[in-house]
Amino acid sequence: MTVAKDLTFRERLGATFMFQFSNLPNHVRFADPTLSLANPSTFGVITRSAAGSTTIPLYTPRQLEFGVEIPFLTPEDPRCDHEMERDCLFRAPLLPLGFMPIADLCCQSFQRLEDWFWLAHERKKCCSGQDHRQERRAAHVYCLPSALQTS
Amino acid sequence: MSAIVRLSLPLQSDHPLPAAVLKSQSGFAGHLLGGWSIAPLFTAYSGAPLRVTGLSTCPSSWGEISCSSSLSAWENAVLTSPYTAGNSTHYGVTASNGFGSAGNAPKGTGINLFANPGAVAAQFRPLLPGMDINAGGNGVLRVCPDGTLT
Repeated sequence: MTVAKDLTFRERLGATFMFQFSNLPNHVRFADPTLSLANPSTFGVITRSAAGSTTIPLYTPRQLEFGVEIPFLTPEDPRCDHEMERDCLFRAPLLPLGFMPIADLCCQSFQRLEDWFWLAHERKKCCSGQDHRQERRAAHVYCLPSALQTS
Repeated sequence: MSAIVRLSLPLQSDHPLPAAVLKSQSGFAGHLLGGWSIAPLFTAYSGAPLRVTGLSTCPSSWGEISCSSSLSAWENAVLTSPYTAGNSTHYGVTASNGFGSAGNAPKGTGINLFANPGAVAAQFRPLLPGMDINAGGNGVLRVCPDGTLT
């Protein structure tokens, strides 16, 4: 099981803390017992955990791994477009106003109106290259108050 | 061979509720509660088929296999009545009719595939040539199914 926490420090600087667990309940898996009528004393007796073979997956006790990923997103980094497109795809159908998710994303995720135009207007890759002139106008109206406040 | 089934259920809290407060990770609560994701993976094992072998390495039939010491060369025992002992792990089991005595305390683990090993063993008998057509094949029993969160 993996638990991750995304943190954003600046517009294009963040970190992802990852906690990866294996066999979280520390559940033991036993090896198959021998069932021989010739050896009654060991009939059905389980003596060890599964050691791993072609038929028995290896038993491992609980393991925990911790990691951190710090991506530095430059303007050329394709992850900028990826994040933008992911949010468009996932959030657009959820809200009644089609332009609101993108405008909302620009104001809340990238904070600056300039970032919105840089991503959606100049690079023209947001949402699979669709025409978003209406959304850009909406973003301008929607983001302008917060942009003025932060500038 | 034991079948393995893995179930994955990724859960993401990129848009947690209340969305208006947390989706942008703004404010202390937003940074603390937003941006989490969890991806549990459950692995289930169906349990491998098990065979019960007879009394001797030497076959009861006429020369099909040799008297090898290899367990794979042992002939299967015949199940004489419907098996009802289940297939879960039992703890604190003591020997019955001498079966499973290696697991007895204080030296044994006390863990046995059967609650009453002697009763299960009594359901099996060696193969009798001329009487039995076959021993029922390999894997008349099945090891207990299992699963864990990985």
